Amino acid sequence: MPLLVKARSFLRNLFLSRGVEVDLDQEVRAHLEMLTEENVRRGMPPEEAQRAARIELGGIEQVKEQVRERRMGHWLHSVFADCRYGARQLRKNPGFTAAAALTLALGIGANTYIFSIVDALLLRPIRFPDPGKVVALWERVPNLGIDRNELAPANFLDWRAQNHVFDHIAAQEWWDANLGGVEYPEHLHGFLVTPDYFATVEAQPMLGRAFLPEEGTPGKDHVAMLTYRLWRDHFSSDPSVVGKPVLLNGIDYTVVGVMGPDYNYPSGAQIWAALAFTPQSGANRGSHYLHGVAHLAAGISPQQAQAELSAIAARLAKQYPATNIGRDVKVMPLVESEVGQARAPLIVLMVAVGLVLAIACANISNLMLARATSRQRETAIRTALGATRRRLIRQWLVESMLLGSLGGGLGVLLAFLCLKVQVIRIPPEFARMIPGWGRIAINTPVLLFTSLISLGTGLVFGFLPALRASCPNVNDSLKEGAPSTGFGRRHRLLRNTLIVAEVALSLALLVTAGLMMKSFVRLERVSPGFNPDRLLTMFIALPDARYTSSEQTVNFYEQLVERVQNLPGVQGAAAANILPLGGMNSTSTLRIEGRPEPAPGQEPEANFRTVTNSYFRTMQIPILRGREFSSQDSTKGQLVVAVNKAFAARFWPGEDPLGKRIRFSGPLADQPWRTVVAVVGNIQDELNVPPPVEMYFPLRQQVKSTMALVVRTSPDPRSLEASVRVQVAALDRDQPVFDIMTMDDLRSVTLIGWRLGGTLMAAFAGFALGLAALGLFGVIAYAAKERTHEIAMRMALGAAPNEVFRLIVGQGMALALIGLLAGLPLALGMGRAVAGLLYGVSPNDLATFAGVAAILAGVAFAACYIPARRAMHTDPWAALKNE
Amino acid sequence: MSAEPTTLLQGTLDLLILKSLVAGEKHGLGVSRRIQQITGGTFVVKPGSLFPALHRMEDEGWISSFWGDSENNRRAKYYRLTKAGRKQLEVETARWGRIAWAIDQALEAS
Repeated sequence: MPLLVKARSFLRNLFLSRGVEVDLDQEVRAHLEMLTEENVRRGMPPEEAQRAARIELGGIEQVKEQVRERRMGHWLHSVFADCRYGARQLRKNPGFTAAAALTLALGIGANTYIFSIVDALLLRPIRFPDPGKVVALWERVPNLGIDRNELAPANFLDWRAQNHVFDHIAAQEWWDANLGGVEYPEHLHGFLVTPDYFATVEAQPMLGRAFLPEEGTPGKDHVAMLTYRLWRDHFSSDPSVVGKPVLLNGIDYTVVGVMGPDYNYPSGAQIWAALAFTPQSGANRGSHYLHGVAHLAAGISPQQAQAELSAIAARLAKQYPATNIGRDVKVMPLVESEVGQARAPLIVLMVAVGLVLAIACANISNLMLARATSRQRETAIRTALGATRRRLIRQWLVESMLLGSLGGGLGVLLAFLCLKVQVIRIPPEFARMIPGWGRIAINTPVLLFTSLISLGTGLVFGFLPALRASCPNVNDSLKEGAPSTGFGRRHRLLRNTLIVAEVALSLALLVTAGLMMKSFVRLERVSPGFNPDRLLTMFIALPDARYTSSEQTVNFYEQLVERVQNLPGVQGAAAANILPLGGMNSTSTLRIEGRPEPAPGQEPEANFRTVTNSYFRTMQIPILRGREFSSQDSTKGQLVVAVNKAFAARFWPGEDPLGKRIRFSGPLADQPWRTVVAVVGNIQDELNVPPPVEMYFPLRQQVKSTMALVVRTSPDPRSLEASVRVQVAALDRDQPVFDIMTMDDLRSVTLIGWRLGGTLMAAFAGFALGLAALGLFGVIAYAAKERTHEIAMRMALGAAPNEVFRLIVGQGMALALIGLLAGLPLALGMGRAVAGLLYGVSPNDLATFAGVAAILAGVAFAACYIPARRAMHTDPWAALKNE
Repeated sequence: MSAEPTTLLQGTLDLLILKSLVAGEKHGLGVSRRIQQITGGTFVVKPGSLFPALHRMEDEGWISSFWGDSENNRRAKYYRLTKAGRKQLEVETARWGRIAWAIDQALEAS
């Protein structure tokens, strides 16, 4: 029963507040009148009676406010009231509101934008039901500094057989799948996976079934799983496709299932087929090409798994020293393994936008402090009417949180636009490979994040003004015509501190941006070792089922190169199995003739590529010594090799490499000796690491079925794409091409992290600089206005305008200088934190620091200039007369 | 008027208001004067404490209010005890008894 009464009271106070208010007012007034009557009855004169009654009551409004504060639902009710009041205040000052909301919109928008990327790429790149359970497995060779190496099949099979820590373990391998039986042949990015794969990543197909254990044996492995997109785009979402054959690489595969639309691992995959090991491939410990994934058994931690796998690896190293010595295992959460390189730059960006928002907060705090001064009378009146200090503080905080929400709303809109117009643009061939890239969006977690920071921001920037504004001197402010003098020295100190903090944070951001931009510019200038201009590249994967002999493959590529070379607009054409700047390589250990046999695990290593004869000419890689490959370099002739400059310097320093002989060791040890016929210039695989030691083989002597065609063109390389494809179709109409990119695209992809990091950082730092300048301008203009009287006095006493100018500018520059000094350790710290992302520039690069400090000082001067000019032109007589 | 008004113990005000309404409905000033009378002038309840307490107790459902005419034919808001209020008075009385006893004990201890 009482509960019901309470609920009714709560609702009445909340919704019938007008009636309740009138009632209260009448009640208190009646009380006052009865008090007065009582006094009159005691014999006081009427006026005296009324005065005494008022004193006893203690003020009608105060009593009413005290009653309101004790009422049920009062809190909620008064928050509504505060919101209404706050909204009215914001509407009354459209200039302030617009400036603050816009600043916040940019700050919160930047945070929302970067967070949407962080959420998609770092926090939830792959959506597993239980991501903590799924681990990636790598081989690692600590002695050689190799932290992540793909697995050799025999090692994987031993781990699978011997471990007790995983309930599922699977391996996957890149797979080029040419989709046939369709009008236009298409290349699919596929993966071959051991049958346990889908159980390992806890994924169920949307249609059909996962692979069966027996499908992991040769002959039964022609089964395929489609991704949702492939199913939708190529099989018109036909559910009856399950169980039907599909032509892949000229072989019939049976479709067993279709994965759901949300499944996105590994990123870029379009199709899966079963991976079966033959007795030979299953015994291979020298070729590392498998990616391992495993699912932890119940109650097993990643550390326990690591310990057991390391123990197994140690046993294998003893058992097979030739291939396994020094080889350990790395067990890491799969999500972490996939995110990898994106983490550091994204964290830097997140910190940067956080700092930008902090600067925005400082600016708005300053604006509000100034407003607190002009609203002193309002505060005084509210206090006189019975508002407690707590209530006043809350009123200010509600107002600033409203402002925060307004900025947050606009910020979300801004972030949405940034995503919509694709501020960050990445070639789709590359974006496809970034886990989570396709899922960057303004979704629920992002909105939640934004709401939190919007309200939090409101609290942060509203806190100081609320404290200051809520303790005015009632009597002074209410006096008619009292000058608004500000809150004196402590108030000024507060505002100055905020400005100093803004300058300090801006310095840190500008320095970081400067260092990153400098790294990017340095990297842009790194010569790749060949001429990347006007080069068209595309890949072709000839299926073994149709190209059964090496001659067929060689003929295809040689004819293709010849046909393309004769196209109008083509200056040269060639093919290579691995392109520079692609970040890919194949590596082998090797023997050098006449050198003692090295101990296992100590063999020299080098990258190797297969190229057609015209490759060096087409790429414009200089041949430093020796000759180009020719048609004589066939299976019938002497086996030859070209080495790069780094190779020659490493293995034959001061000797002539020509005529020396080398051969593979390890899994390719059965191949014969090859004679060095050329030394060529170094090329970069990645722009930020020194060129590796490399060998080149002529196609005829080291056949590869997957090759990249490179075409040097006179016009825009993209314009020749169609005619090159015609030549491919003319040779084999079932043969698709894929990953068509210009060398410029490839180059920009390798630089993309630095470019994006640098430009985004520069944008954020620029914004921070603008905010700091505005803040400084505001504070100096305000201070100058406050000092009008003093300046007029000085001028009246004979001070020259120049001295006034110096006075005002000096005040501003002093603040800027303190800010610079305070920001110095911060900037040094930030520089150190991003050291791993820098190239060719030290984290405490003097030029960057000096340049940034000069820019900041210049901007600070500009910000002080206008108020100083204004102060200089003060008319002392007019100013003093106005006092 | 009599001796110095004493500050009310937390929670005592509710008890006094409830008690003052036992004899019948009263308006705010009546409650205030009745408390002054029954405590021998020890407690003077100011409107700034009285009205918040009355409104809170009404919200709790211990007392109810209505508009009526005063002795001098003036419209005033009257309060009266509800059933829940009588129960609350018993609770508060018992509580006060315990407190008073405890304080006595404490003072008598050497």
